[in-house]
Amino acid sequence: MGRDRNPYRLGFVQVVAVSETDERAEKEFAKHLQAHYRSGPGAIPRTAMAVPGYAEPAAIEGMLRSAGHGGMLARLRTATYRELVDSQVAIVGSPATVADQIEAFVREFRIGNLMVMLQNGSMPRDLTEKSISLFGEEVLPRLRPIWDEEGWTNQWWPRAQGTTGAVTGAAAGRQA
Amino acid sequence: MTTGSADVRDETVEVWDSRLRLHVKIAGDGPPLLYFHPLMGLSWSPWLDQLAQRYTVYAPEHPGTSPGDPQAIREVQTFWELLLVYEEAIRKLGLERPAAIGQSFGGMVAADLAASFPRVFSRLVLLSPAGLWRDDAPIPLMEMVAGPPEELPTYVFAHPESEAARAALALPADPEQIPKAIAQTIWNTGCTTKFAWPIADHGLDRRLHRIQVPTLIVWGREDALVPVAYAKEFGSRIAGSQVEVIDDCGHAVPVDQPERSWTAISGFLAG
Repeated sequence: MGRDRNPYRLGFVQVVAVSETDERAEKEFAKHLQAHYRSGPGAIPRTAMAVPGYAEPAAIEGMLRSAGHGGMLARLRTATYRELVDSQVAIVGSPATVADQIEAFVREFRIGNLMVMLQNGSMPRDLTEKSISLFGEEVLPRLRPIWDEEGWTNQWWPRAQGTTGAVTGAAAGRQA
Repeated sequence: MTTGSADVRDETVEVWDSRLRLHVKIAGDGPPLLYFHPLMGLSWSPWLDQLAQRYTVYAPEHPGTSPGDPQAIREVQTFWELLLVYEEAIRKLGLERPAAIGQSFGGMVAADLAASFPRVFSRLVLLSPAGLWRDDAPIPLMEMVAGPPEELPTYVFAHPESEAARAALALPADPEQIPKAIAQTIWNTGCTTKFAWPIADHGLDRRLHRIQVPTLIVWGREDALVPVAYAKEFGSRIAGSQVEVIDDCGHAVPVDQPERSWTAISGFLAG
């Protein structure tokens, strides 16, 4: 494409839930994640996904096919916890499980900016806070240095008006 | 979107500092006649075949709406640029003062071209054109475009169940082709609504007085998209224009009342 392979060009949003163990994660998060996908993305009417001007023709066509019978969005309406986790629609489990899975796709797709959604569906406050803490304390330290050794500059990180200078690597995340 | 007549050929005109290849569908014999299509793109309908028996019909496809060239819309940033693109295309096609018909969104384009470049057309037909705004006669464009697709025919036709109305919105027979066709229509609508909003702010009402060619304004009395109240708004601003309001007729005039609209349009163009 004529561009460098700077991973900070790319941003990715991922639903994540972390507990002490994989078994506990399933017990705690299964019903909330199912509720999220069944009544959330799975329930958006086709028309709301395809408002003129919002997406390019190939993307609109993909959404229409996805929303139709047998498509991905249609399947979300009845998705089970096991399907969501096995397909990595949601990444859920112990800190080690979650970090392993995220690190693998981050490296594969060269993702520099990761946005994690840690509250989903009917998830209550105490569970959400636990998930956030475990992610911050036990998962994030493994993810932050992933691109450090390649030495890229994240020139896309938002900064206050009137300030200048690019932010180097994952230091962007630590500053925020 | 384009269906029907086998004799329609496709020509491309390079315009806009060679950044844009405008696709023009051409059919028929006789004096040149430009046709500017409505919001959802060019659909070669039976009444265009009828026109092609008397005229050489040139139907430009709005930038971005030609299948296979969606990104062309990015080259045109404002409505004024769109008018300049068309003015250039008319010159490059070698058309000397053609007659012009503009329908709905295309009516807004044709009217503004005639106002901006008073010598570009010889005659002008506006079929329920957009382009003006009255607070007491709102145009439910947003409701139609972003609303449930099953309600769309009720904005466009006086008789949505009629065979002609169904044919006008028919999807491909092959189910596999349907998502592509719908996606194309949605994309087309995005390409045109890029300039259709904000209707009130392009200032056409302040330029219409510049139109100096014989003008026919045709409206359906039951138009549920651009209310018939706008017929006299256009008529009163264009000196010497004729206004023809057709009863039992919605926004898509040639679909709802093919014979009466043909009589009005063909008589005017011949006159």
